[in-house]
Amino acid sequence: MNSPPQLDLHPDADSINALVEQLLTEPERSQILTHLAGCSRCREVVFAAKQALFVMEPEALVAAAAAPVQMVASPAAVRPRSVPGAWRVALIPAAALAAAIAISVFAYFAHTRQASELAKNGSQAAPQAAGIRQQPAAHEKPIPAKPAVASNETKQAASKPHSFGRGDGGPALSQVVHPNQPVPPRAPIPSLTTDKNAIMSAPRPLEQQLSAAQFKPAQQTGTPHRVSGTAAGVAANPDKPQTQVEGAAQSNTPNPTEFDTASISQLQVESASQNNSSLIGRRAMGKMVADLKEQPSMLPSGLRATSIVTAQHRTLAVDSLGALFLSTDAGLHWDSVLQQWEGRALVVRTLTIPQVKPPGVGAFDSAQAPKSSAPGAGTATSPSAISPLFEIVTESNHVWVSADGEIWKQKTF
Amino acid sequence: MAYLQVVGTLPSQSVEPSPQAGASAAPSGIDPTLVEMLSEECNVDLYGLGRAEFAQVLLAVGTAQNFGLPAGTAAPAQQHAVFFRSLRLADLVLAQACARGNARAWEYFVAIYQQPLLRAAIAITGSDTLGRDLAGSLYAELYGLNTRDEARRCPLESYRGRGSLIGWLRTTLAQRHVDYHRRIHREQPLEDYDGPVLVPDPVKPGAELTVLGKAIQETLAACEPEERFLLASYYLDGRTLLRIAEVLGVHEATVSRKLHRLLDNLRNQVLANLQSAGLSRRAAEEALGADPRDLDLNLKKLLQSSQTDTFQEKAAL
Repeated sequence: MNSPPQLDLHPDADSINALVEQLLTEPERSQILTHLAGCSRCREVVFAAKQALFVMEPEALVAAAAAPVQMVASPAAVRPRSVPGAWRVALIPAAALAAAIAISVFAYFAHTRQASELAKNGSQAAPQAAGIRQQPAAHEKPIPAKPAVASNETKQAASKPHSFGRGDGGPALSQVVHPNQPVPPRAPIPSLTTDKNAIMSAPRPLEQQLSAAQFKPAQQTGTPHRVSGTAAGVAANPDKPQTQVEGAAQSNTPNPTEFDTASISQLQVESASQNNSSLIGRRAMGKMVADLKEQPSMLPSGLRATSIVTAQHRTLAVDSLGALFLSTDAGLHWDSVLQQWEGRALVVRTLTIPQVKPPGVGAFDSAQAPKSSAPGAGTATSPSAISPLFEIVTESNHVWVSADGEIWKQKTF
Repeated sequence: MAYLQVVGTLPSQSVEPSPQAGASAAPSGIDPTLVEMLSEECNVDLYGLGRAEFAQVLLAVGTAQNFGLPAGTAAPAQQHAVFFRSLRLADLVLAQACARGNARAWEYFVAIYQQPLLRAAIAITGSDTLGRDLAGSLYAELYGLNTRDEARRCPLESYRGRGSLIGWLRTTLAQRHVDYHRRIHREQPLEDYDGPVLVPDPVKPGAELTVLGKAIQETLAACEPEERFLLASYYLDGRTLLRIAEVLGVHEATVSRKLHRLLDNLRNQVLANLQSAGLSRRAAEEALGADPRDLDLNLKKLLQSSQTDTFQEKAAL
């Protein structure tokens, strides 16, 4: 661990403005970005200044929209034209011909796909009867609207199955012009973003909530640990993130005259806000780690996984329709799990209570676990004898637990 | 200006003692021809700045930054022109003239920047009332109503002409606004205080989680500055890709791709670190699939931890 940061020292307004106006040299930019990464106060300043720039100078917004898309992945896409002007005329009929062929091919394959889907629907009647209840289309979450940017890169990014939920579409450029306009709520995204939020906000058993230890002892600071969340400025600015309240010892000393009008009942106290800061940091880390997990390309349902966990060589995944799938070969093959719960499964997760692990499992490498940990291998370590290993949370907020991912029982608190 | 008259201070009262315009010859060190040429470019006649005072402003600005050269290096005469050409000199001279209490410069400043400043304040606060309050308070500061060591201090003195003056004003407004809200957000009425929280004994994380946490720490410590900023903005602040792209000066799709690549690299690096800690590949992947809530890691602290460079904010009070 390096030396602790000195967050009471910040770049001055001139340097931050130079960053906003893209005037810094590379070493200076790196230095300031390093500071910004660890200083939420300066990040807020930078984003606020940039926001004001676009309000004051709408032409800057147009310039930003036309900002160069760095073609790091495909440098060939930016190669100069090699076709002389005289030949461009000859290319027009060729392009029209190619377009006609492409349309024909597309129409042919669309017809073929439609026919195959009809046949597939007929064959899906059996699995539905077996318990994999298909939800109506209304349950499926809407796909967020992407900003209309005529860029191949944007289209490529939009088609990628990534999980960058909050910023995926982002507001349309026209919505950014005036920040006084309330930002419409972003559409949920059928990806891990929903899962991440569900993971971090889903109910946990009491013992795990306590073991999470998200709150530091109040006795350590001796001050109340509450943070007020209502302020006129933030209420009027719905785009402000919650980080307004994070960070300690970064602001100026409060002016005593500002509290003269406060009544005794509204006596203001300074909160350390370290708990809240810690909570935000832990949640952010949780979301990042969730993004680091490799996702299976596609489940047998044809949908992507919205929640996935791995433990004891068993991988469980929930798709966007709430169906649960099990893999014992690291996601190469998937089997559907018979639905034993009511409603859709939203989140699947592991239970990491220490007594879950059967005796003999290595401390570091769970691959060294004895074969007796397999279901039904022995009375001492059989799934029925040990504590549950997996749990799912359904849309009705019920928790179901399982030791092997196949046999599920509702959890009673 | 009406506000300034109300508070009983006239701009003719100089913030700092300045020599009378034209009272003395141009200070030595800057070529008079260069001074003359720059004065015409900066339209110093608009606010009645004499050549001698203009030359003093130039000399003060150049000396403060050693004409763009490292400290201790003597700046040749050619460097003077290069340095002044690299600055927003018209904005800088206006700011310096205002800081010195030049009345005509103040009138010019108010005429040019009053409305943009107000719009910026409203944009930053998201409220007309709060925006007007913020702009008014900054005006008072800019005018030098605050004092330090019994001397009036004007924040415009800290403007160095690197970016535009309006950009500097926007950033200063944003700093004031953020500082104000960060101060009042950490306060709340006592009556809402409901006693200390029962805190359980800390649970020691499992060995796998400890190794995973260490691997993540090492991986984040090796990140580039821009990558760290990206992680902080996206995961800690919850900024959209569009907002991050605006700050970084690239397209939104570029930020999306950068974040993709960054996560891929982080994942590979974490797996490599786990394997170097003794785990097999499969066990490393399984460890990475642990419940994120069980990780006792704070992304904010990790991103702060490698911050070694510090800044001295040239505070405008």
